[in-house]
Amino acid sequence: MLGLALPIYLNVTIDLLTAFILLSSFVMLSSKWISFYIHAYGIQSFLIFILTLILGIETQSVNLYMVALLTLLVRCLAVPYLLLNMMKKFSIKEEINLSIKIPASIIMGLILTVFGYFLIFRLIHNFAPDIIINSAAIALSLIFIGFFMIISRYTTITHILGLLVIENGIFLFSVILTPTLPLIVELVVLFDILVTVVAMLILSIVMKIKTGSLSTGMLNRLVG
Amino acid sequence: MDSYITSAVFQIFQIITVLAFSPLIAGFINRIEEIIQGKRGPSIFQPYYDLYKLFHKEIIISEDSSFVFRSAPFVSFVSMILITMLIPVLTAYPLPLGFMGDMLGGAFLFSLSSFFINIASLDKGTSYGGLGSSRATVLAILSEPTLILVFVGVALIAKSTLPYVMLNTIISHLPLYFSSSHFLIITAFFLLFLADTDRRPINASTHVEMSMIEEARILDYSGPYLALLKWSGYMKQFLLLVIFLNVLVFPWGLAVNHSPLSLFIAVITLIFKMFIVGIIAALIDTSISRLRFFRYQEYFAAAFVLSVLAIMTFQYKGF
Repeated sequence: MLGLALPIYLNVTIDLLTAFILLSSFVMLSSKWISFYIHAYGIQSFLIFILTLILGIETQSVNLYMVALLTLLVRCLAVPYLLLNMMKKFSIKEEINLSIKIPASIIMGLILTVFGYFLIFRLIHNFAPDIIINSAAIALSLIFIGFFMIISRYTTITHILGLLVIENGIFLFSVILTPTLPLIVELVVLFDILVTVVAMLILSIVMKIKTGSLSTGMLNRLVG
Repeated sequence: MDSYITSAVFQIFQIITVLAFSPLIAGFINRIEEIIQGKRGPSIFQPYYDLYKLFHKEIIISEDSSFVFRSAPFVSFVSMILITMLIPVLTAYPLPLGFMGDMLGGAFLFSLSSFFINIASLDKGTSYGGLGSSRATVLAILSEPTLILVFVGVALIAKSTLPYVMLNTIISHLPLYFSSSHFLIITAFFLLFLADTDRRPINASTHVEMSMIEEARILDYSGPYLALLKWSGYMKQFLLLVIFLNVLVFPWGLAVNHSPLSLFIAVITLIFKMFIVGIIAALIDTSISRLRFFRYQEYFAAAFVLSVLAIMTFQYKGF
């Protein structure tokens, strides 16, 4: 496990970066504008890229350099570009109907974060240093917040972004806890994202053509 | 004995600094806002002229008002002066009366001043007074939890609620200065600062009846009473800026010994830091629009989240 003897400046850097990663997911929860979500996701991915790069420099591992580079290319550039392109094509701007209002969803995100901290503390506080507890708890809260974004919003683009946030959380988890993961696993995950995003975009386009909107709020009428 | 006398002199000088320079900062921020909007704007000494003018006008008081109406400006003014003694305005070491109260005591004094203005505006019996005080109370209810949590965060970092201890802790232990909880606390406090000094997105100081909050509370005051209230408003902004800058953001440049030269340097750096934050505040104020009254909770929910995250991330930061 990482972090048994990290120098203090690295502790501070990881602490700051993970806190900003968590904040960017709160930015996503607190806004109605979809382009805002996508930019926040891009910034989140960029912060994860910097974190991975710093860990790579610290552990002298070529694998982590490669993973960081791929993160930059796929998460930070390709996926936001695809989503923004799609938004422009269908001129979607704002999420009209939220099932949970914004202040309530911010507070809900907060509760999920506290729950994540609690869970991680109960699970690993016996054998992990504090900074690992902090980062792992933030990664777990990213997963929870991603799930919450999926269930509290109606537009398919938001669903895609929720999935991506979950995926970011899992990636952060793996980088923090097992930075020596084989490169092939990371490669598989990254291409998984790309394929998922493209497939879901195609599905949304089909949905837009068939039903005339990107909202999943009406989809239960198709049952039976 | 000698150092005790100089400390007392420093304390008096501290109060004089706040009294003298608070209108200047208000005028400066106004001027910058006007310049950003493409106008020339009033002189940065305009608040001094306003105060001078108001002190030479007569007082008109409604027959129905009681002693509460007459005492509120003095309570507000005196509580601002008391807060000045509690916080590190010019010196990094505590002055004789610095242990009179901690940051919570300062928050109580701010609330006391606000509370007296509230009941004074109810005391007049006009409709605008009730409107203003009810809106101000809603704002206070929304912002108070965040303020308390910011103080809890400061207390966690410094192991004390005294502002002097916080200042010296983050100076002497630099990793704490760069910790995420410190930055989150700074952001939460800045959001509260914008809300408490009537800047956008809250902007309580408009004269439009639909949206006025602060103005509705002091609408019936005139002459020297109004001048006192305005002056204590300027001082409130100045003191919040002092807490923000000298305790949280940039605790360097304060006087560390009893020489007059370091005092002079402390005043200059303080004003300079305030000008920089004033420019940032003016930029924010001109670049975003005002929120609807029923969306204020989003703004305060964001500040609340920041302060809670500061506390959460501090627990397991690992240094």
